[in-house]
Amino acid sequence: MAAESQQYSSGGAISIRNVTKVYDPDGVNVLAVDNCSLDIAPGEFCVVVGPSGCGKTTLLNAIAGFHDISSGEIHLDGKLLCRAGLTPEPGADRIVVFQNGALFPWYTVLQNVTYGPEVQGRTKNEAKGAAMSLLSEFGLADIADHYPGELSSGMRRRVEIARALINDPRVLLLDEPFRAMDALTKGVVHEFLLQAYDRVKKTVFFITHDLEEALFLGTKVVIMTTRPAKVKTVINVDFPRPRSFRLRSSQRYLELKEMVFDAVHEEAAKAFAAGERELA
Amino acid sequence: MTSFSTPKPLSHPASDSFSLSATDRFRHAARRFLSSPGPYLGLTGIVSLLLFWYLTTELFALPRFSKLPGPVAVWTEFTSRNPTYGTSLFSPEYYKHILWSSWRVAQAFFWATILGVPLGLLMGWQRKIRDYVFPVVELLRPIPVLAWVPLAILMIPGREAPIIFLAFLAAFFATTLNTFLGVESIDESYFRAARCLGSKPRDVFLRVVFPGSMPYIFTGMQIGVGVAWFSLVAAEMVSGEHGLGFLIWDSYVLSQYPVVVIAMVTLGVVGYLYSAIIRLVGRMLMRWTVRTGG
Amino acid sequence: MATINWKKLRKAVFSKTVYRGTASIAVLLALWELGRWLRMPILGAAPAPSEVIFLLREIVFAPDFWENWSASFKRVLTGFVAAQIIGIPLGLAMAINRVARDTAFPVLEIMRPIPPLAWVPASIIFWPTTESSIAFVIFLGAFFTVVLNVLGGARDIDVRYLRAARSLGSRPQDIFFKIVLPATLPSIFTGMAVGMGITWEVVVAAEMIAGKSGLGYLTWSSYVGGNYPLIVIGMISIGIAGYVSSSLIRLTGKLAAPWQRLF
Repeated sequence: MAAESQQYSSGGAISIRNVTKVYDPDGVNVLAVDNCSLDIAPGEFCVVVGPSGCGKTTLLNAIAGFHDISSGEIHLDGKLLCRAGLTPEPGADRIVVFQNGALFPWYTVLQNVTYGPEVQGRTKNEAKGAAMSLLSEFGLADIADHYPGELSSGMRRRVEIARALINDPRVLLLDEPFRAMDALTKGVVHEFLLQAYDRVKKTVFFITHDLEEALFLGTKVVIMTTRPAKVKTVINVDFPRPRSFRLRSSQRYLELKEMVFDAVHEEAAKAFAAGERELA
Repeated sequence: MTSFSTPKPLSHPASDSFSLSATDRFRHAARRFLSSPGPYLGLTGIVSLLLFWYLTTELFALPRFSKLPGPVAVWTEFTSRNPTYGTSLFSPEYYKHILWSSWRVAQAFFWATILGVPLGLLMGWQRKIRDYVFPVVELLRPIPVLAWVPLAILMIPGREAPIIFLAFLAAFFATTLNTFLGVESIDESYFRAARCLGSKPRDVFLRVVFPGSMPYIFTGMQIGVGVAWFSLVAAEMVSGEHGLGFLIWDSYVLSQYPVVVIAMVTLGVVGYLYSAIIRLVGRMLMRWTVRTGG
Repeated sequence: MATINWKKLRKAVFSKTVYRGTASIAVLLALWELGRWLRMPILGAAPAPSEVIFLLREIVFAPDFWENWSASFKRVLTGFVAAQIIGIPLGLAMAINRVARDTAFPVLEIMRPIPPLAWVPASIIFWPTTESSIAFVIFLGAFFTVVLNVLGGARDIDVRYLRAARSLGSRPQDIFFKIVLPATLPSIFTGMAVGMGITWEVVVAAEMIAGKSGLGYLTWSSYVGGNYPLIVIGMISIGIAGYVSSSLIRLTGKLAAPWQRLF
C-alpha cells in the first residue's frame, strides 16, 4: 500500500423504512413513492432500476437532503436522517453525482476537486495536494488544468466521481449518471466506476433505467414498480469482483438477465401506458 | 498495489489541435478571409454608402440633401489644422468634449456596476430579497430613462450630477436585471452539488452564484454601457455644457453642420470602443466559456 | 381547461411574494410622501404622491392631456411601422442571400453604434417638418434592432429543419414560406418588443428636444412651467403607454406563434 494514498472510512448503512412521498404541485396530489422499504449494508453497491419518472430520483433526493418525505423514515448508520417534517441538510457524507453532470464549468478539473476540501475548511495547499494525488491515482492528472467544457462526457463523469470521493463520503449517490452516453463510452466509465468502488468500498446508491448496467455494476439490484414507486423485487448479484467487461458474455449473466428482464419490461409497459393517459 | 488501469484521457485539446504556431495560424486565417468574397462585398457596401452621401449632398446637391453636410466638407473640417468652426482632429476642444462624455459614462457605468451587480446577485440568490426588490424594479422599468430628465434636474442638485444620474439609471436597470437573469440561469444541480460538497452559504454565493452568472453580468454591462451612451447624448443635448451630445446640439443651433456629423461619428466610435473593451475584459475573465465552445 | 383551479389561484394571490412586494412599494410611497413634507434633501424636491393623485383627479378629464397621448402614439406608430416594413424584409433578405448579407452587414454595424438621438439635428435639417423628422429618428431607433433580430433568428434555424424540408421535396419558395418565415417569427416579435421599448425612449427625448405636443413634451413643459406634479403624471403616462405597447406586441407574438408555448 502506498503511504500517501487516501484512507477511506467505513460505514454507510442506509435503512429506508416505509417511505412515502406525495407531491403537491398546483393542488393536485401526486403519489411518487408509496410505502417503500429497503436496507443497504455498508459498502454495498445497490442499484435501483425502474422506468423513467417512476420516483427513484425522489428517493435519492430524500437521502441527499434536497427535499423531505411525507411519511416513513430513512436512517444512515443507525441515525435518523429523514422523516416527515425533517429534511436533512445536504452534506459531504452523502455526495450526489448528477444525471447531467454538475462539475462547475467555471472551475478547472483541479479546482472542482479541491472545492469540497476547501469549503470544509482545509487549506488550499492541503486540498491541492490531496486532489493531485487522487487525480493521479485515478489517471486524471493530465487533465487537471482543463475546464470541464473541454472534456468528453465520459471524462467529466470520472472527474465528478473523483470530486465526490475526495471528501470521503459515507454514501455515494449516483442519479442515472451515464444516461446520455454512447455504449462505448459507457463501457469505459463503468470499468472506471468499478475500479474506484473496489478501491474505496463505499456504499453506492445508483439509479438507472438500464438493466444491463444494473446487473454489471451492482451487488444488489432493486427493481421498482412504476409510479408510485414500490420495491418489486430485490436480486442479489453475486458475480465476483473485480468484474470486467467479459462478464457480460458469461452464461450466468445472461441467465440472470433473462430472469429479471420480464419483471422490468412489465413495469416499463405500465409506465408507457400511464404516460399516454397523462397526455390524453 | 494495483494502480488504476484507466486508459489515457479521451480528449486532449492541447495535444490534438494542429501543431501550428500562433503566427502561422493567424496568417492562415487571414489568407482564408481575404480569399472569400465577404470582405470585398463589405467594402462595396461601405463605399456605396459614402458615395451615396457624396453624390446626393455634394455632387448633385439634390433638394433637401444639399442642406446636409457632405463627406468632403466633413472630412476637410475634421482634418483641418485651422478649422472653420473650431472643431477638428487638431483642436483641443474636440478632445475636451470626448473626455467630458467619456468621464460621465465611466462614472455612470462604475456606479451601475458597483450597485447593480450585487443587487442582481442578491435578488437571484435570496428569495426574500427578490420578493421585496423585484416589484419596485418592475414598476419603475417601463418608464423610459429619458422621461426622468426633468425630475432628475429637479431632484438632484448641481449641473453634472443629473446628467450622470440619467446615464447611471439606464445602465443600472440593464446590469441589475441581466445579473438577476444570470443567477436564474444557473442550473439547480450546481447549487445541489455545492451543498453536497459541504458549502456554507458564503461559499455558494462566492463560488457558484457569482461565477455562474458571470456571462450574463458581462452581457448586462455591455448593454448597460450602450444605453448609458444613449441616455447621455439626450441628457447632454437637453442640459449639457460640454460633451459630444452638447456639441451636436450646439453646432446645430449655430448652423455649424459639419461639426454635427463629426460629433455623431465620434459618438459611434467611442461608444463602440467602450463595449469592445468590456467584451475583451469579459473574455479574459471567463476563459472557461471561450474554451468550451464547440 | 375551463375550470378555475381555486386552490392554485388562492395560493398565487395570498402568497408571501405578493405580500412582500406590496409592502415594499407601500413603504417606498410612504417614504416619498414623508420626504416631501419633511423637506428631505433629494426626495423633498420631488412632488409627493398625494399631490400627484390630487392633480390626476383633475387631469384625466382634460382633453389636452389625452391629445398628448394620441400625438405620441401616432408618432410611435409611424416610425415603428416604417421600421418593420423596411427592416423585416431586409433582415430576411440578408439571412437567405449571402451577397446581401456581406454587403449590408458592415454598413449596419458602422451605423448602429451612433445613438438614435444623435440623429435629431441632422433629421431636423433634412426633413421638411418637425413631425417627419421625429418620425425618422424613431424609425432609426427601432430599425437596427429589428433587422438584427430577424437576421439572427433566421440564421439560427436548426439546419436539420432545412434538410428535412429539402428531403421532403420542398421548392425554394416552400423553404422560405414554410420553414424560414415561421421559424423566424418568434425572433421577429422579440425584435419588435425590444424595438418598441427603444421607440418610446426615443419619442420622449425627441419630443422634449423638438416637439410641440406629446407626452415627452408634456413632461418637459411641466418642468419649464413649474407644474411639478404634472411631470410625474407625464412619466407615469409614458410608462403605461410603453408597457401597453409592448404587451400588445408580446400578446400578438404568442397568438402568431402558438407552438412556442410548448417550450
